[in-house]
Amino acid sequence: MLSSKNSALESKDNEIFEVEESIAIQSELIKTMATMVNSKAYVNERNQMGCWKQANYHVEQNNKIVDEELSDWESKFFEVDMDDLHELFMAANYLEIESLLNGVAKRVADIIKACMNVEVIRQTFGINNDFAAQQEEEIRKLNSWNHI
Amino acid sequence: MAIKCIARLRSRRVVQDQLQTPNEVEAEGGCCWANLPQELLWEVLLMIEETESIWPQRKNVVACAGVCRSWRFIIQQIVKLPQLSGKLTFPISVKQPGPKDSLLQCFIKRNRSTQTYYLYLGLTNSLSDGGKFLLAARKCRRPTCTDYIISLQAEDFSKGTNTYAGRLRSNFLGTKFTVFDGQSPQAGAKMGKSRSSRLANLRQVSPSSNYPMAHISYELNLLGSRGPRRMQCNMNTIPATSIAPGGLDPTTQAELNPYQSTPTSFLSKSASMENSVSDQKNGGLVLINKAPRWHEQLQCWCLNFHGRVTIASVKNFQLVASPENEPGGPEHEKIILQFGKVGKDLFTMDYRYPISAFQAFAICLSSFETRIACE
Repeated sequence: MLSSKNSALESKDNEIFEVEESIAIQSELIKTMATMVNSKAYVNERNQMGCWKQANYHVEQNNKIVDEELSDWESKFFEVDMDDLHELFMAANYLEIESLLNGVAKRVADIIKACMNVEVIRQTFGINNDFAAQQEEEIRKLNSWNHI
Repeated sequence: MAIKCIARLRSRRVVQDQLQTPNEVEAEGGCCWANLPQELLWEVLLMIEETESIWPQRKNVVACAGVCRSWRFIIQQIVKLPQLSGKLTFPISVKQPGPKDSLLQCFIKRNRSTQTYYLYLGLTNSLSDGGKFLLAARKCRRPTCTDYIISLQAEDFSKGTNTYAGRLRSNFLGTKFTVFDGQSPQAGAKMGKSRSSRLANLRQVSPSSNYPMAHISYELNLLGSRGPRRMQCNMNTIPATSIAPGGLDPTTQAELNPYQSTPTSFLSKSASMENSVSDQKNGGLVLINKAPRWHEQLQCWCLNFHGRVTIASVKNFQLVASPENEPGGPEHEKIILQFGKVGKDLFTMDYRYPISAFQAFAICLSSFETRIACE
């Protein structure tokens, strides 16, 4: 069932990856690019490795429909720092690998849920509070309704 | 398939290239979650909204709406009105109509010593769960009337704050009541210029300019105080057609903002307490209590509360839409509000579209207050 054909994909820092065809086409982008000559996937080396690892796992699972929860393997796979998670997210989006996108999105959602409050969410994701001072005060007051 | 390749190993430093791709732009300054593409952020927030559907987990959805403007914008698009989803999310949910398809089960706890009433959303079918706090009301007796101040805070009943939700005012005899909807400063950033200047003036508005949204009256029935009392609620802000399929909706979607405490209503004119008779002609919904039946063997008045009320009390009631002068249709059979005693200071309150939790709570408070047919 597994094809013996391999694709050679070059990363933007000129690392070459050999990936089995059935796994490479998990990426909608690669699938499309296969028809083009001299095309390159512009993803850095480390994350491309990660993307193909996950795509490989997905194919091994016979492309099962993703469950509500991340599998054990996926949970371990996504235990990376916030910078790496972000790059993985962007890479998955760029390469259009649906299973990976889904997995990262779930991991990010879980991180948000684990944050106790708004401040912790902002710190974890490095997001600035861009509400006007008065809005912020009103939101904060009404948000105390959440916790009663 | 084969993609052409050129083999050359390099270090992992970024190569400046004219063909900048999304990843190259990111790699320049390190990762930046604040610049996450909207569609990816949307996916994440959608996941959270779908999985955190009941309280207390639902507070995570509200927390996301408080992170920054872009997150709040997305959450506001994702969260559906209670009438569609059956879920209460933001404080303003208590002023939006309840679910169309079923009764939303809540309960009220009374604290006699402080004359305070607390409304909770039931989290399970059992009445012993903690519930999610929705509103609180405190009784204030005055020389010529009684007020119940209604608040989004359990212990703060001051009128100048944005947690003030409104009040219920009773006449001297306790036979007629008016529900006032509190107005408060709006936190919405998406309001247009002309609106925001109007809104700025709202901050100086005193609580006495609250908007009268409903009138409730109690009367004895033909049997006098030996029989169940008659209740009538004139809901000024709810169109009478809302109960019919395809009828007008009480709230305008475009006006909604989770941090505002008053949705815009379909009728903007105010009415004094004595004008309640004309409300029906103006198109406002009229609710009346379902008449109990006399049970000969049990020698008492009976209503079917479907297990939600377990202690007999003259305060217990069920409200349906009044057909007025027309023959009643199936929409006049539906229970819109049900209230009844289950413990010494514990009562259930179940409500549905087109009334909101705030309106339902205020109507129930009037049942506590009125002295009609109480022996």
